[in-house]
Amino acid sequence: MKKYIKNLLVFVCICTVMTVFLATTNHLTAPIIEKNQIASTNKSLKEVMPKGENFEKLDITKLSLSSSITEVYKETNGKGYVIKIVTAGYGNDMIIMCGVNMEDVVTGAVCISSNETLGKEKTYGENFINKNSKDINDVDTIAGATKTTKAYKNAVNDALKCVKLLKGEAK
Amino acid sequence: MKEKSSLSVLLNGIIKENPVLVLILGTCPSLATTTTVDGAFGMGIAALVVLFCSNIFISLLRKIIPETMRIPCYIVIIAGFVTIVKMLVQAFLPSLYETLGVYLDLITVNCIILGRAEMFANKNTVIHSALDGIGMGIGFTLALTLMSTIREVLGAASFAGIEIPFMENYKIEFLTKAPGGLLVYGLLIALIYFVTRGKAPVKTSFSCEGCPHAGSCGKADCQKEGVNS
Repeated sequence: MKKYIKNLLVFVCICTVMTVFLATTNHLTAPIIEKNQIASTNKSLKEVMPKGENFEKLDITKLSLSSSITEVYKETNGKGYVIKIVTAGYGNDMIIMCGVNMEDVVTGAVCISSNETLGKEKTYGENFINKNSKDINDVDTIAGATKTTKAYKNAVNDALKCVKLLKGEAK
Repeated sequence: MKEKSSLSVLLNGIIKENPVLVLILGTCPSLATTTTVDGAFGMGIAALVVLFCSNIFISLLRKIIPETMRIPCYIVIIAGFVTIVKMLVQAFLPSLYETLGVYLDLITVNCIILGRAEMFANKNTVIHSALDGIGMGIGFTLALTLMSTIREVLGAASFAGIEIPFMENYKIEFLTKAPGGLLVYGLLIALIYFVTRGKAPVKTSFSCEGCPHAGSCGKADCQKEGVNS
């Protein structure tokens, strides 16, 4: 019994020491990580809506949006919305940011995280610029990466539908 | 038993007992992160830091850690250092953090780290354990960098993201995919075997006796296997 208690005490002591190390590192790095994440999000927002100046994150918990939509940002001067969509690609999930203006036209789309076979999914979004919901289907699918490109199209369609819904909510 | 010199401990992990190409440990990150040179180099350095810190810590505590509780203790120490490295990379090298993705967290279950804790750090002095961590880390980094250089240059016609224009039309894209990684890995293992004339992979020096599961799978058999080889 004494041996078990001793073993347990050693284990608890090691856990405590590691916790102190982790807490100290977290204390030092958390503000920098948060700053980096804000900068990264702002960069993506500007990329998909170049004319946008300030963005405000909307609370979407009470809205009945597609489950693929995880975040919605509104341009504070009423230039449009930026939608963050998580969609299933060929392999892992793809995270896509899509900007849509008040005329329901795509201002930009960019894949901010993926592990896809296409490889150029980060630039594929440029094909959707200045397209509306009717033009989306005319965007070419890339041979050899059909699932990835179809997922991209579905994501942009979801973003366009979301903006229509948000404008309805606004009215 | 003759005590090893500090220099031989340090150099051991670079070729003679290279963790990737001789001990065949850490295969998963070796294949997954070697599509780009910068990603592979970053992974190697991250693993080096974790190896160095965990080896020192485990060696310091080797007389305190109970025999029956050693694996949970090692895992807590290694996971702790991996999380520290992850936080530091996320804060100061966000692009590398994005490139490495989940493989940074998976250093926790990297056989090299646990293997060296079990095989070396819990039996040797702090200085030797630290040198072993550095040596193994350098060996891991060099192997990954070499693999990624071959895969990126020949497969993607670039080096560390810098395009090589005259190779643009001669890309072997297969090398950037998983089967290409396995092929390059196999060829490098064969090359090391050829260069060292088969002397490097001496089973007695790193056989089952160093395996974290040796206790549960039958130590006697493992030792026997080591002696016979």
